[in-house]
Amino acid sequence: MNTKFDAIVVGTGVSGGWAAKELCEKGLKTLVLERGRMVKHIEDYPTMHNDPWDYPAGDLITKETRERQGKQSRTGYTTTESNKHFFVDDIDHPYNEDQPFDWMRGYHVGGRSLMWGRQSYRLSDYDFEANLKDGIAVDWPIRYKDIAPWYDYVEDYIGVSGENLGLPQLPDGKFLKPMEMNCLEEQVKESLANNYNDRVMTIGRTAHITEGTKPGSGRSSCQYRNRCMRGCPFGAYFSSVTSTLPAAEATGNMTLRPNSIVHEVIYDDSSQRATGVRVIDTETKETIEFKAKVIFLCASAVASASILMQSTSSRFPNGLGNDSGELGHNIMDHHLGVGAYGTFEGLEDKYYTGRRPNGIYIPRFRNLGGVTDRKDFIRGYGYQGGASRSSTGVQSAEMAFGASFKEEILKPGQWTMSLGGFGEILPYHENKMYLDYDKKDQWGLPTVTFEATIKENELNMRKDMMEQAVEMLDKAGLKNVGSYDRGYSIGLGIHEMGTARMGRDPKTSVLGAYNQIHAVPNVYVTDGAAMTSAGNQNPSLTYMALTARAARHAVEQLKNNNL
Amino acid sequence: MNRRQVLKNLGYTFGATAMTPTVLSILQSCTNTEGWSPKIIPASKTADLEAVLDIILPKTDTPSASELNLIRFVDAYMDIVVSEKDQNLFLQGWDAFLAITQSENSSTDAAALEGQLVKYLRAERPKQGKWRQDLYSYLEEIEKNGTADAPQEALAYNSISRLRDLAVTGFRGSEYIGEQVLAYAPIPGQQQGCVDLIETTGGKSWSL
Repeated sequence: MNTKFDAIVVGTGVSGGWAAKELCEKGLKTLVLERGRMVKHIEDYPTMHNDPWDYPAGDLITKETRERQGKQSRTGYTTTESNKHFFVDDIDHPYNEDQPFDWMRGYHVGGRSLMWGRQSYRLSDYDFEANLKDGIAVDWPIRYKDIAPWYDYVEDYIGVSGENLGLPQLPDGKFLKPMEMNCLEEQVKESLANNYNDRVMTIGRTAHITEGTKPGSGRSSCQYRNRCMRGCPFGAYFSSVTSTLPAAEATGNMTLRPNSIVHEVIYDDSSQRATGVRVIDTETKETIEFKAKVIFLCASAVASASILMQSTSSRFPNGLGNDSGELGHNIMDHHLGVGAYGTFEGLEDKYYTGRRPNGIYIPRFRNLGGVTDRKDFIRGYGYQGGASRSSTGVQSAEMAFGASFKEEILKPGQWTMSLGGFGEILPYHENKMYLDYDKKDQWGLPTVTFEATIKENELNMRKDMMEQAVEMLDKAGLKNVGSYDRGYSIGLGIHEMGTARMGRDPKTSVLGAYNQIHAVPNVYVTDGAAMTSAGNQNPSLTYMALTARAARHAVEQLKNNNL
Repeated sequence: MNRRQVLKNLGYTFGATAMTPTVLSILQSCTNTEGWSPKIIPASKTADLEAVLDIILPKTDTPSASELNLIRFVDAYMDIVVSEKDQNLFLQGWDAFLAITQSENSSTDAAALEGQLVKYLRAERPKQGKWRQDLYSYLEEIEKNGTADAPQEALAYNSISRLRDLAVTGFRGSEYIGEQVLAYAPIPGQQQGCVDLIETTGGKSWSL
């Protein structure tokens, strides 16, 4: 077995796939390590063609699933019969909660790039300058201009459909043709345009091919089945399994090794560099060391931080690169589960075709300067949502049962529309994860404990998120408008981030401007751990752009013998 | 031949036409040979339950609840999805429903059952709200004291409305209705935001 490589990439999700592609394409012999099982495109999508009637009680969450995948079931949608195969078993893969924390994971080649929500938005300088302007946490070491070309590069490669709006807070991109809004959404969009100067509605920007093809393992246009999370046989949405890993594979430079849990980065005091990683082979239970000149941690925010925390040495007694004491801290997510819904009277003769795997988007409109500034909270939120026709109408509810009732439930019901907020969470030092060495997992590795909660800024923002959603639906003429706040614990947005933040000063941050650990420059961390602030935009696109940028940097540094 | 295979074949033969008696007899024969037995609903109660399901979803130009074997869906749902506590609540309410039907009509024939469905499912909203409140108070008291007087009508209402909802889900989610009656597009291939309902699906709902 070869144990010496030019580069090691830990993780195979959105970030790991990009690191693998970029490093391999630049000629580096790269070992790509994945803790979970192998997933092959199409072959390993067991439920991709199933209909609800292929399950005895329909496609829902069973009691048995709730027992094995209790925490993974907290979203309410990720562990239905057709989706559950890509989510972990919580009994086999435990974690601890000092405060409630929802940690949704997929341990397999492709990681969460197989099950992600695919919404793809750029951060802007409102985000990169936010901490500096507000005087909280630390300043990002980069600005929009540093990452913009990499957003272009990534969008062009993976395929993102959407509409350019020319908004400073949500930069334009290189988009494939947008999906269509339905009749009610168009009406609500028009109402927003007529009633507000500060906000607009657009179709979601989503990593789906809507025209032509993209490179990878046979990637073609979206067929509008909306069965994405099960794995898409058309390769229509971006996943590392269909896109970046095949590109890496095609170079002949990649060695992909599933069933390999990286738990430690090996540090050499004399060279002051990392020399490799320690891995547990989950099949043979052996511990193996692999060596490389450069290491990319792309295991996800919590897992990458956990690996660094386990990598202790006399130089780094509190975890590799943790001179600042910020490792594992500042954990963020996007808070959600608050919004409004309403019904619409009319458009009874209208419908739609296709099951659009996407919704509408209302970009942030708070705290952008001038009249948009708020006294009760800083930062902002966007809305995601959509309209559709329900499966049973009001009329059928009154009939309740019988022959005409039976006729009625075959027709589409009335139109409904909902808006749900996605809000920014601030980086609080005290929101953290730590390792519990008393509670070990089946590999003898410490488990992760979370202690994190949203605070006043987020709670105040949630009130506004609810009120504005109600107001917009009211103004658009929806009836029976109701609001909801289902409550929220950090993690439920499945955007956990910030545990090894980037910054300008090694005393207050873990990573520098190119995602290198300040004191160990041949270790790059390019997943959500790197985030200095959260923005309110779905973050995966940013992880991809940061990773591609960091990989290019690593290649150049290696060439110049700087690592 | 299993039922799924029969229905798959029927799709090619009859297209989207309604079920003919021949078709149904094929389905029935499959049912009979498969020797299904319920897991949660006591075997002694399946006949009454199926009779109620057929009043909720009678035979029209589409098959009835019993022709679609919806009782199997109800039983599977109770078995696979519902907690044991909820299963018992459902069965307790079902017993209450039958007992009330019997005492008010001296019978549990179809006419008596239908009268009871009118009473519960077409009741004024405040009345239904009251039943829900009574049930909630009952469950709360049990939680607190371990025992409480069971509000028979509230229990009956809970089970019968639950059964109706399950019947609808099972009906719309059945293979025959899903593939042959509703507008079925497993691979739509395109997405249009705003189209005419009648031109697109003939007024039917999409099944998926």
